[in-house]
Formats: sequence, C-alpha cells, structure tokens
Amino acid sequence: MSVERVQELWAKFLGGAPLSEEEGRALLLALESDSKLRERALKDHHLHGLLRARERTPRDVDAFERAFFRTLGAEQDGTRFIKKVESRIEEDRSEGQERSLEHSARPKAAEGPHRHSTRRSATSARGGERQPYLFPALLAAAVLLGIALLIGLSSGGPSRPDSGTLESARRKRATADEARKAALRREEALLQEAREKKAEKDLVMAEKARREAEERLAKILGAERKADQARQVAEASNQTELKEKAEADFLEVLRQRKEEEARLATLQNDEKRAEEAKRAVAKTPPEPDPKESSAVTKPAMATLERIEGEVYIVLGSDKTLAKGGEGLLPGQGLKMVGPKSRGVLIYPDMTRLELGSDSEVKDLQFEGGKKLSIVKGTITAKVAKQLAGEAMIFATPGGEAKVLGTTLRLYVDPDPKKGTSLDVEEGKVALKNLAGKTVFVESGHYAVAAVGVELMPRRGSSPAASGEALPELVITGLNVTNGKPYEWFTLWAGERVYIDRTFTYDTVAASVNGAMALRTANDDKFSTGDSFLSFHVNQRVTVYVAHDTRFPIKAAWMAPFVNSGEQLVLNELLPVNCRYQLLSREFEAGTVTLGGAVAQHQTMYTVVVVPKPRKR
Amino acid sequence: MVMMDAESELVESARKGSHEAFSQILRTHQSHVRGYLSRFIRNDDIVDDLAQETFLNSYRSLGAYKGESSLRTWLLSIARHMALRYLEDVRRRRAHESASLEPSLATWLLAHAQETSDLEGRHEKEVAALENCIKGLPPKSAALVSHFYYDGHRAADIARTSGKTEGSVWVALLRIRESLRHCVESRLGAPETV
Repeated sequence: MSVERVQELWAKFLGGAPLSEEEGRALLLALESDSKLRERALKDHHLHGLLRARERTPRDVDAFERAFFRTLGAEQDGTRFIKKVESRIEEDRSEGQERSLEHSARPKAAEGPHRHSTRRSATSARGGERQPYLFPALLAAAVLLGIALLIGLSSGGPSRPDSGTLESARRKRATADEARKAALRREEALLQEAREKKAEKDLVMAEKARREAEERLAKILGAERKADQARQVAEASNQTELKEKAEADFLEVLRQRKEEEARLATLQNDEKRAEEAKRAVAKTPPEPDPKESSAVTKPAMATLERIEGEVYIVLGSDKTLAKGGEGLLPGQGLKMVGPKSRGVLIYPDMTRLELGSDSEVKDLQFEGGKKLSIVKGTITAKVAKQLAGEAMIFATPGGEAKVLGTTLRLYVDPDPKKGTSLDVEEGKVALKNLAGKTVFVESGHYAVAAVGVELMPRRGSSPAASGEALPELVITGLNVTNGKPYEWFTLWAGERVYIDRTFTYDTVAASVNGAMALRTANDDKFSTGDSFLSFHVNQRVTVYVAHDTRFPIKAAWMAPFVNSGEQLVLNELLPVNCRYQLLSREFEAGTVTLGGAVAQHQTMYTVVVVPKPRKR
Repeated sequence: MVMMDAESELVESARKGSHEAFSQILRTHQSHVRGYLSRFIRNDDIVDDLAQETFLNSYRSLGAYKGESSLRTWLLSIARHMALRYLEDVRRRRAHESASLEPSLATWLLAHAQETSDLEGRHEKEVAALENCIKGLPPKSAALVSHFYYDGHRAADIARTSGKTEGSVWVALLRIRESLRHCVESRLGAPETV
C-alpha cells in the first residue's frame, strides 16, 4: 500500500470516518511495521486533539457546566437517598426487635392495625371508609340517564313524511351543499392568493438580502485585495510595526470575509427555500370548479411547432406522447428520447427553442419572465427581446442563464461537475454557477458553469460545441517507454492527477473540462529524452502539457508549445497548492510523441488532448 | 501572586460548598482539561465524560488540594490519570480484537504518555503557538480547518459542497495538520511529545 493511501486512511480514521475491516487491517499493519510512520501518526493525533479542543463555543461551555452540576446534583441526591434508605433499614431493624419483644408480651387478638402498613394500603383502607357514599351517587346518575332517554324518545320519534316534502328537503340540502362548496372554493382561492403573495414577498425579500450580501462581499473582497497589497508593501519595508499592523488589518478583513461568506451561504439557502416554497404554492392550486374548468381553457405557455422522433410532454412523473402543434401548459416540459428526436418550441413572442436529441426541459413557467429548467441536452435558443426586468431564465443543474434577447446554445449535463456550457452567438447572457458567481457572456464567447471549473467568459466556442461538430476523438497506441500503466480518463475536478499519488485536480480550466487526459506517474519526474511517451489520434487535436508553474525550466521538447494562459489547480485546500500551466500545441491526426520531464522538474507533467475545433 | 490569592479564595469558597465558586473554577479550566484529554482520546463524548469525571473528582477531593502546584496543574494531573485509566481499559478490554486499531493505538498512546511529565507548561505553550500558526494559514486551509473543527461539518459534506473528493478533503486536513505541527514545533523550538 502506498504511503499516500496509508495517510488517507489514517486521516479518515482520526476524523472518525468508518474504515472497512480491510482498510483498518491495512492501516494497522502499516503503522505496526513502520515506526516513523507511527510516530508521525501519533503526533498528528496530538495536533488533531489540540485543534478539536480549541474550537469550543461558549454554548458548549454552558452545556458542559449544566451537565456537570446536574450530575453533581444527582450524585448528591443519590447519596442522600442511600443515606435515607440506610437509616430506614436501621430504624426497621430496631423496631422489629422491639415488636418481637411486644409479640411475646401480648396476645394476637389484641393487635390493632399494623403500624407499618404501607402508604398505599393505608389509602385503600380510607377508600373503604368512603364506600357508603358511592351507592346514592350511582342511583342519582341512573335516574338522570332515564329522564334523558325519555325526553329523547318523545321529541325525536320518527313521523314518516310524504314524498313531496322529502324531495323538497333533498333539493334544499343539495342547494345548501353547493353553496357551502362554492364558499369553500372561494375561501380556498383567497387563501391560495394570499399564500402566493406571501411566497412572492418572501422570495423578493430573500433575493434582496442575498443581493445585499453579495454587494457587501464584493466590497470586502476589494478591501482584502488592498489589505493584501498593503501587507506585501509592509513586508518589503522591513518595519516591524508597519508589518504587524498590515498583518492585523489583513486578518481582520479575512475574518470579515469569512463571516460574510457564511452569511451569504445562509441567505442563498434561504432564497432557495423561498423559491421552493413559491413553486410548491404554485403547484397546489385550489380545486377548480368543475363548471368553470369546463368553460375556461388555460392559456398555453408555448407551442410545439415541430417534432421529430419520440417526444413526450411531461408533467412530474406523467408523460404523454407529444403531437406537433400542441400547446405546453405552465408546469409542463418536454422530453426527447433517442438519437433522432428533435423538437421546436415557439413562445407567443416568437422566442424559439430548438431541443436536440435526448434533451429534456421541464417546468415551463412565467415568474416575472419566462423560465424553464433544462435537465439535460442541447438547447439552441433565439430569444426575442424581453421586457426589462423580465429576463428569460434557463435553470440548469450547473447554474442559470439569464437572457434579455439573444441567440445562444446551451449544452447541459445533469452532472453539475460536467456542468452547463453556454455559447453565445448574438447579444449578451448572464451565466451564474452554483457558487453564486455571475459572468456576462457576449457574442462569440462561451463560458462553462460547472463545479470545479473557473467561471469566466472566453472567446470562441466551448469544448461541448466543438465536440458536437467533430467526429469522436479516438486515442490509441499509448506507449510509455518504462512500461508504467498510464491511463486515459475524462478530466473533471476531483479526478486523480497521477497513478502513483492521491493528488486531485481541484480547478479545471473551462477549455479542457471534460477532455481526455492522461494520468501519468509522478515518479517519472526524472524521465529524460525527447521520446518518452507516444499515442495516436484520429483527428487534428490540441495537445496540452500541464506543467508545474513552480519550476520555470522546461524540457527542450516543450519549446514549440505555447502558454495557453489557462491553468489546472491541484490541492487547492493545502497550505501549498500547485498550479499547472497548460502549454498547448496542435498536432495533425497521427502519432503524438512527448519527451521526458527532465531532472530539473520536481513534478511530472500531465497531458490533455482536445479535438481542434473548426473555425466558426 | 494576586491571581494565586484569588484562586485560593475560590478554592476555599468551593470547599465550603459554594457552587458559584466551583462554577467559576470549572469555566476557567474546562477548556484546558478537555484540550488535554483530547490529546489522548479521539471521541468528543468520551472527552466530555472524562472531563466531567475530572471535575467531579476534584470537587470531591478539594480538601486534599494543598495549593502546592497551580490549580490547573492539579486538575490536569487528575485528567491525565483519567485518560491513562481509560486507555488502559481500552487496551485491556479490546486486546482480543487482533485486527482492530483501537487497542494498538491505546498501547502506543499509553507508552508515549508515560514519557511525558510536564503537564501544564508544554500544553499551554502549544495551545498559544497553535493559535498563531492557524492565523498564518492560507485562507482556504483556514476555511477548511474552520469548517471541519469549528463548524462541525463532515468531510463528506465539505467534499460535496466544494466539488472535491472526500479522500482529498481527508488528505488536505492531514497536510494542514502537518504544516501546523511543523509551525508549532518551530515556534516552541523542540518537537512536542504526546
């Protein structure tokens, strides 16, 4: 087992996470057989304890104090109780001795009630004394019951009505029932309106609070940058007092940022809950009046202009086969099934959505603007000019795109890690990721909203768009001269970097997110030569070599590679994180050969291969 | 000296049965006692139980406290006794679990604890050094420490919200602790003992 794996298991064990039997045994074996490792583990145990102990909130202290005095009280009560029992036993013992003396002195018939009868038996004896009063009370109750029965029989005795009276009474009852139901419906409608208004108000308040927090955070981030700069200037000045002040200022801003970030996270959750509450309220409309519902038809949100292949209209878990020309009602969605499925949806303002194969959208709504959720697939939208404040919203698992009028394409994967790629052809779109960051993407640019991907607009078309227009990339014939089992994988945040280390990619550049990457061995950092590894590609590609920015010296064979300006970030959470700059070079279909990392490098490079997009 | 006098007065009042005085003693020293116990024991509930036992024992035997050492040193010596007894108990009760890490860890911790004699001085210095070292952590590392140790978030939750694997969070915590340990050692000038 590698040292990294042992360390991971130890960290899990120490943190209280359960280990499998096999993992526990492996960890035990590793610690038993390596005294240095054990020593480090014990020191880590020690520091873990110090960290746990320092983070006690005042509430914990109060709880601890309360628990202590409760236990102390219980202990003292217990002691008192034991003492009482002991004294009682002692008393009984001495009285028993006295009684045995009395027994021997008096005849049995003369014995009165036992002095030491229990409290319960004394009560029952008293109850026995009360028994004579019970009989008159029961008698009075029986008489009252009889009178009540007689009154009931005389007034409620059925007299058979004629059929006309019966029919009239039935009609009256039916009319009254209807009036009562109508009143209930009106009441329910009013209640629903009030619920909707409240939900709307709550959402507006939550949005406002979130926006204010975002603004505050933006200000604090500005202050943090300034404080950091001031700190660096102070560091260079070599004046202790200045340095200390700058450091203290920086730490204070840092604390403020942490607080504000925590507040923002809470407010974002509040907003999400308010949105959910609003949706839930909207989904539980009052029971419609059957007469009214037959007369009034709900207006369609959009119309299915054209469909190809298997297309369904969906509402929750229900689905019905869609027909061309059919209208979609609020709350409904569309699901394309199969590679040949397509659909075109037209809104009354001529906003046009083209849904690609296997795409799915749901919950078409109008909430201060058009809104729909894209579950997965490719959506090409030509959004007509929307009114100010009524932007059209495309919600996806990776984020949200807000549009006032533009032509765009969205590639949506249900996995937030793979995310949503937005390509804007015309106009401007605001794209927000799950972390709450928003960027504006303009015509001819793209951005990717995905977990672990830096959200920023870039010129050109997204990898998803490029990939769609190209044949599938096939990489074969991987040859590593030392025979190590390098492996191809799809590059997402969280993937392991090396085959022999546990480091993971934490932030992936948008241009290579989801691309094919090669998991190399970090122990090959001393590899040499111009031909260390090779592979074949079936089309024109851009090969990226990810090179550790901490080590400026590059191998000679890297000279034709140019810095793409993008990075992969490893170990973001660690005290020292690593940034790998992406050096790129284009290769035609055929063999790609890369050299060794050379001894100057402290880490092995990694490789990413992206199909070369056609010019737009 | 003034502090010692105030402390003696508190002890005297507590001896006479003043809950208020003992409450003050408890509030002043509980974090140190729990911190000291946490060095040996991973489970917070057990740490709390042993800390409570420590204070109950000290309450019962306040009469035996002669003021020869500071009250904190006296309390830590009781806590140490509690911790070692607990570890010994784990070692003995779970000795038959040959594949379990717990009894072995208890044995190793016991061995290390028996090498330690300095109760208060070292612990106090370590806590102070650790505070400074934490302040020097990069923001993301500090945030991770805060999420895990202060906010009580589970590694799996941190991993999910930050888009990382749970394994990478565990390893990150380990590396941060290593870096803090080096920092504490360099500030104190000598490697710490367990």
